Amino acid sequence: MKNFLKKNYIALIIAIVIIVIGYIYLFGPFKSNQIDLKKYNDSLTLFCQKEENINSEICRDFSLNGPFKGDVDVLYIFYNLLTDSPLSYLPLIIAFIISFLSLKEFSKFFNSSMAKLILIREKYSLFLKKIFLSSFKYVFLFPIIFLILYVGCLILGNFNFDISKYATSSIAIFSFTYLSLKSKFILLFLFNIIINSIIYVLLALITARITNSFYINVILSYILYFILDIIGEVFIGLISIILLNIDPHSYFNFLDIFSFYDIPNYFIYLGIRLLVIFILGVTTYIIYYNKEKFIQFIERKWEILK
Amino acid sequence: MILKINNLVKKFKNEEVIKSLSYDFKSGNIYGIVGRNGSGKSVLLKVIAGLYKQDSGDVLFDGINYNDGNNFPKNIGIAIEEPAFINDLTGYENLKLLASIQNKIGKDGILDSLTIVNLVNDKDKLYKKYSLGMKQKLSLAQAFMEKPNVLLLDEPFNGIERVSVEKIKAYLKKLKKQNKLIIITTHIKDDLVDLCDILLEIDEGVLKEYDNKK
Ligand SMILES: Nc1ncnc2c1ncn2[C@@H]1O[C@H](COP(=O)(O)OP(=O)(O)OP(=O)(O)O)[C@@H](O)[C@H]1O
Ligand SMILES: [Mg+2]
Repeated sequence: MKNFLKKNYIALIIAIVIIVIGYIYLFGPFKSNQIDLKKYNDSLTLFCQKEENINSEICRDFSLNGPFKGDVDVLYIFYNLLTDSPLSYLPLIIAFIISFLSLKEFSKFFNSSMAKLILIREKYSLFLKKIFLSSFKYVFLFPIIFLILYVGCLILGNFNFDISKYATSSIAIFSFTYLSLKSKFILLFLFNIIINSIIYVLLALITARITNSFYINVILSYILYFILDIIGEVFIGLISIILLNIDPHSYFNFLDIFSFYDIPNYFIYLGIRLLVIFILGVTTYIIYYNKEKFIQFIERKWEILK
Repeated sequence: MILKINNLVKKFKNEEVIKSLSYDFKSGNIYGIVGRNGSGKSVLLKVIAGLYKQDSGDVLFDGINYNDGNNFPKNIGIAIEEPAFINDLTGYENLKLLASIQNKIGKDGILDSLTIVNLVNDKDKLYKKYSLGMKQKLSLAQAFMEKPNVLLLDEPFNGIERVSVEKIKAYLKKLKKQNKLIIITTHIKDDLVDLCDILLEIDEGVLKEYDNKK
């Protein structure tokens, strides 16, 4: 336990900060908004009890659909958490956090001669396996964080996934395909984060071989990730608009992993990501498979960086 | 045990650093390899340790080739080129990290090894606070700690004070009696004359008996 804390304290601090911010939003600003809604319902009830208002449009609507409820459906709460709270800035830094953490796992072996001393004690393939496993564990960091936040949404939304009464709120946001998944939506959401996180870890593994400096590599991996985004959105996007007359912009949005529910077809979105993972995976393999090249890389002197 | 090197060739781009080098190293001996800067001493040791891969020829430990670009020679200890351990760990923690890979030795084994090189008193200092000589001592302790059958030491006495050098030399002589194979390189021959059984010279990429007349 003590060892676990010592090894993972940065990830734990990040997780706790995000979760605390999320819960403060849910049970603070968001909840008090819902209470306002109750007040609004109460005043509307009073309003519509008056003879002269009964035939007004708003009261007819009110009697037809029932009151606006204070407890909206879980997905609506979750959506508000992602877009309306301070957590809406997360997509910009998730890639950064994952690159940072996974680079930190192994860069200590890369900028010392430690790797050489390890490699006379174990096989190169085993060494790589350990490095890859230790960085890929961060693929699960954000899914765990969001799962914990989702529990807050479940509690606040009284486990209510019935959207029919709240059509005005939720349907405007999610496309119906996702909304109809109801409680299973979260599984898709978490799966999607894992898929995108794999891309970030692969980018980190690739940039780890650019220089021997941890900090420079963190920045480079972030730049690389913008480049990927730009290539996808601008070049491929532009070509598709010109040639095929469709706008694939949101399919290539690697920057905002929350926005996947805007897209009409998740399978195309997933397919593109699997293709990117495949390309990056092959690149990673090519960069790492040669033991001697790897050792020469760690032996290189990076005077400018020291 | 015999470490047999057969027509070994190692090139970098077009530069042939080791040219058809052949030699049989036998356990129970301390070999000294002398050579000027850039003669290929470190490269030879790295190929033997499986860190670099030869372009042709064989490195055979009792007939077994470990240098396939993935495997490592079993039971070998190396201290090659300037040491660079992990800065934010202490000397002891660095050794512990390495010892944990094969799990052959525990705390006592590590401490024994640190005692041989006179570093036990500084074992809990962070590596980045080590002096040059202390770094070199840690590198040697690392090579010794798992009691390997083969030791490859590249300029092992760089920066180490005289008393400790004598102690380490005495230890190496003891290992020799235990039938270990020890190969030491240097560009200063005088470091080795009193220690080595066989003195070799590497020049133009080949290994030959050291010519005392030079
Ligand atoms: N990774 C490498 N890439 C290209 N050339 C290399 C590499 N390593 C060594 N060399 C070249 O091989 C030759 C031998 O180098 P090596 O380090 O073995 O010399 P050395 O005998 O150990 O010298 P010194 O006494 O300075 O330690 C040198 O010319 C060097 O430039
Ligand atoms: Mg050298």
